[in-house]
Amino acid sequence: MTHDVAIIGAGVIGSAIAARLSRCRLRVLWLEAAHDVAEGASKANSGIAGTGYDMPTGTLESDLVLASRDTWESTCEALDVPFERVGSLSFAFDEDDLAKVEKLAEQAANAGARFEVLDGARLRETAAGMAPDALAALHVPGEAVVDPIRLTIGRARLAVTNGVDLRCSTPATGFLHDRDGRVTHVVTPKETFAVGAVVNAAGVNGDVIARAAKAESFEMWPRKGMFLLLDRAVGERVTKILTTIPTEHTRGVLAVPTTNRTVLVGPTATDETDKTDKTTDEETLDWIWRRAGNLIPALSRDHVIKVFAGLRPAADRTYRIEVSAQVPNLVHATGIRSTGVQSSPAVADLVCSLLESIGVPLTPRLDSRVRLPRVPRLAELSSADAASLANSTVVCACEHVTAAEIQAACTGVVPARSLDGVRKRTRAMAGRCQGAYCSVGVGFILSVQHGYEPWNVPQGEPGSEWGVGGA
Amino acid sequence: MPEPAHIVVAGSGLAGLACAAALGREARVTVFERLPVIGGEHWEDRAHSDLRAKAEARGVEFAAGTQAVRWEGDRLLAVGQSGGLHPARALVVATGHRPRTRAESRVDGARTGGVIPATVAAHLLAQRVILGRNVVILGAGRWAREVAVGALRAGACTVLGSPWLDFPAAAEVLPGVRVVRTLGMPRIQSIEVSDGERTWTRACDSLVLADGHVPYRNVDGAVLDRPGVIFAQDLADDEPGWSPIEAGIQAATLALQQRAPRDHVPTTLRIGHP
Repeated sequence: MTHDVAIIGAGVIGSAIAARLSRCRLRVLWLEAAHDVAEGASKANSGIAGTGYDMPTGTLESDLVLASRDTWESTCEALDVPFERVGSLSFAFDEDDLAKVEKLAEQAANAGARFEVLDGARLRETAAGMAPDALAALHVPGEAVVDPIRLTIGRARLAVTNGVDLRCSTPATGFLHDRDGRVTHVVTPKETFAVGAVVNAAGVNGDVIARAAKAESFEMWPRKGMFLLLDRAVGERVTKILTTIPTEHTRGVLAVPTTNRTVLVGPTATDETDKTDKTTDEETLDWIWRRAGNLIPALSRDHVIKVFAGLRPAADRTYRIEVSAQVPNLVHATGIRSTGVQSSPAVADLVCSLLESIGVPLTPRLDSRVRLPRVPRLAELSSADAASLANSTVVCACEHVTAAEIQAACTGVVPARSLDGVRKRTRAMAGRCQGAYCSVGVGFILSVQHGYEPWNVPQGEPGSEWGVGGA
Repeated sequence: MPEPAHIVVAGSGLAGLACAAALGREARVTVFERLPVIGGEHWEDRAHSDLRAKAEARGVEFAAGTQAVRWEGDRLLAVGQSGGLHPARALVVATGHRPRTRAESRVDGARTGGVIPATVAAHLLAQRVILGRNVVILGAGRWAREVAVGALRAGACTVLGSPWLDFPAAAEVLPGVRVVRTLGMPRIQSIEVSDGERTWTRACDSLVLADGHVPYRNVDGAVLDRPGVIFAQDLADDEPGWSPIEAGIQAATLALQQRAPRDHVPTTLRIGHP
């Protein structure tokens, strides 16, 4: 046996599990089909991590979100992940909504979240410049935003620093079993690994992995969520997470101030069949836009810097986190639909206790790291503190990312190998010009690191290079 | 005699240089240029070096290789060779223009590889990169012509838009056609286009975004209108009638009206660690 545990999937759930297991005396193999970590729903979500006030209690999903909610400050501080409890406002615009605000308040009370119902002058003061037509709002001060991509990458870097064997571009394509139906090997296109236990954290492909491992047959499908991303110039006006109240006919739309001070509006939620289709369309975006107008007045479409879609893993049973009934050394962590970021700390704990229950010893390693070193980031420093970086070279002029930050992202553990990889780690090319000015500089640093030619600098997956050849 | 007010200019293209030269001895002037040479991308151009010499003769200071990062009402944070905090009464933004992004051109569909901004495409073509054998250029503005010339060296090239510069005859030009969505993954294979009446799909292995003439703004605190900030940029997003030199001279007049002392407005920082 080469590895005690194999984790399949390097999204926010797989990374939480990998980081947790990396602190034990285990040989952990971690497989990811894509070229980088955080390539699925983990890079295309609203980045809310909070109190769980808006979900009914008494479900596994709610239990895990509630168990996670006090862990964020210490985790994000240790892993260099931006995080802030900005608070949320759920607005009522008519009489129907008012009744729903009362219901939501009851739910928040059940979840043990601190809240207040605001109207009149107090509402106008707390929601200055936002939702001018609202009659009342539920204010939950503990709701938080996190950078979900840096969370996933931070955990991955910690896991790999502690010795986890991460293999990107390495899909698990098959499994070998012994006579008792236990998995003995994970098969990939390049190599076959002998493993003691397997964790299925494959996101929207959790059903494919389960079938390949001869485990339960269940159905998963992508639930598409489209977002529009607004410039930081608008972000100054949106200081809290803003939501409309869901009705029987329409879902609530969110306006989320990201950790970068941009604003995300969306998402939609439509059940699809194609697990690779992240296309956007005008009709859906217009639908979001009309609703966002209630939350943020005088919005201009000129301030939209990007639109994108994420595919959340929907399933016939949500939060299937259990030891497989068919394969005794396989643990499922699937069906974690839209709350994966929020619940991931407790999901990792639960998966670890399930592994322990099937005989994987979780002996702590005393020499494991729990913190990551930090690279100073120009955009996160006050102007007085930025003096130490005053003679740096700024490569991305919109997001103010220095050459040293990009260099650090391309080297070390879990390095960026593509333009998307650099964007996810540093925000270079993620600003209002979307790389029109800095892509060339970023591509140069990537090329020096990984030996690319100008024509074959990849955007993301192999096949997405800048050109088709060089003269 | 009181010290003259300090006015900072971001960008040393024609607009920034014309502004600095016009401000001349009326103020103390520093021009910041992100590239290591004054004149920026057009440093070899005669008009740039003439304006630069004129400005220099009038006492203008230059800070090449230095990016203007934040405007805080009474000071500029710059980062680079001449980096640091620079107290000033006014900021002139003369950072040029860029093509519209995917989102601004309303191109939906798949986020596929092979879709690149024209500014990047032009640079890659200069490096002898073959972008594709069937390149489509969205928009016919200033960047489109250079890209078309380069793309035609390796294959076919189609321009969607109405050129106002001379285009190579070998390029197919389709005025009034827009790209609705991109198809293909991981690299673009085709696009859906529309002329307003009908929609059709055509093959394409590289899509270059070259539409519009959007003011390029990258100084935090000076993206929207703010006290003390003057834009020497084409606000109409319509290049043919726009003169950078006139815009620079106009900005100089406005900047001189902004010489009163101003309050410090700290930038709202990105959220860091808790």
